[in-house]
Amino acid sequence: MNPVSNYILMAHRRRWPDRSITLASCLWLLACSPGLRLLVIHTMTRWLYLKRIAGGRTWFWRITYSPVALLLKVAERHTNKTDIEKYCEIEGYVCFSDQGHIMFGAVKTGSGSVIGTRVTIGRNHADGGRPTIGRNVWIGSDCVIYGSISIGDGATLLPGTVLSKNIPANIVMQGNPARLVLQNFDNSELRDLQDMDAIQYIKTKWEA
Amino acid sequence: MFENIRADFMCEYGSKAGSRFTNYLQWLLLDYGLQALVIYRFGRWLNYAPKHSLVWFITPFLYPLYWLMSAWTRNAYGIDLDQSADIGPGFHIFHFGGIEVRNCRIGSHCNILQQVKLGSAKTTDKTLVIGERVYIGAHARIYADVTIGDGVTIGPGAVVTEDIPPYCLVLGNPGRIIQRDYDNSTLLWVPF
Repeated sequence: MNPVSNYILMAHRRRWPDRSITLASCLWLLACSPGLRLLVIHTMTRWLYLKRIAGGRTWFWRITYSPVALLLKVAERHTNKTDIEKYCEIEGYVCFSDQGHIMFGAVKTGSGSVIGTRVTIGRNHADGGRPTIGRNVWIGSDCVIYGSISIGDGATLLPGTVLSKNIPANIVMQGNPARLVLQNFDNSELRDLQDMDAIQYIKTKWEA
Repeated sequence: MFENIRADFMCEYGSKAGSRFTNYLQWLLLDYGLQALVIYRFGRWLNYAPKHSLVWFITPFLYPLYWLMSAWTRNAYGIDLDQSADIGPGFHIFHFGGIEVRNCRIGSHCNILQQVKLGSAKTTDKTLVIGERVYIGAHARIYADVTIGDGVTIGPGAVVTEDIPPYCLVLGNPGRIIQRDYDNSTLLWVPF
């Protein structure tokens, strides 16, 4: 399966957990979910980019790349205030927030990761390193992740975390600078929730 | 206005060979921070010029243009450079989205990133003063009436609530001075 259908499946499961997948609901999601639209546009522009750098019929991709990709990118920027760099490798089942304001520059993002709103993931201006995100990572809103770091599988970054160090799998980080909150936390329930529901979930979890 | 805009352009793309008029247009189209900055400088010029020259009879017709363009940068790019801010030449905005700058005085050759909020309360006489060659990382917020010295580096996500002496590295929430004599020339867009 191509990544786009996986993105649609993930968005569908998160928005309507108890509804079966139909063509109409998929089309509705493609039209009305900005987070899904981001990923679809990124897939298209990245495909064009890879074609362009792969060689072979270069003149054709050189002609098509700049106008098509630029138009899509600009539409994405203006409607969503989001910028995903073209070298980013994003696997299937990744979900982006619908609220936008995301600056995304991770080298590789594993499947099942969820990225919240107003998240910055990118280059450390001092040494130019970029982060790598593992599978099933939940990144809350207002997070900043920078530097040449790797985030382990199943890690959870609570909202407002600023992270610039490697973290192992299945841990929960919070704060600025980031501190360890919990170890061996299973975030599979958290990843299925929408933004506000996830915040409620965290609150109830921590009060209990 | 024109000297400042020229300085901005030179700082952004001074290292690139060739600076023909078409190159300037190309940079202006692709760089949202530069667009917002040029529109901000245009608005400042509209406020300043009528007092000193004979352009006062054109400015009423140029104000609606400024309002439209600034509304465009606010809504489409999320870059809000308010007229109450006094921004020095060579200012550089790295990305776009969620940037607010108001009621502050910023020195020359400062760099800010996305989601940065700078400003102070309008009621007080004191304002936020930022020195030269200050690097303000992503998601940093400075709301208080503080003075920030030259060459300060404010890390990503930092919230600054007190005065910072020159050449410091500030990290964390609340912002703490992690290192003194920190050299931020590698972080800046134009190294000095």
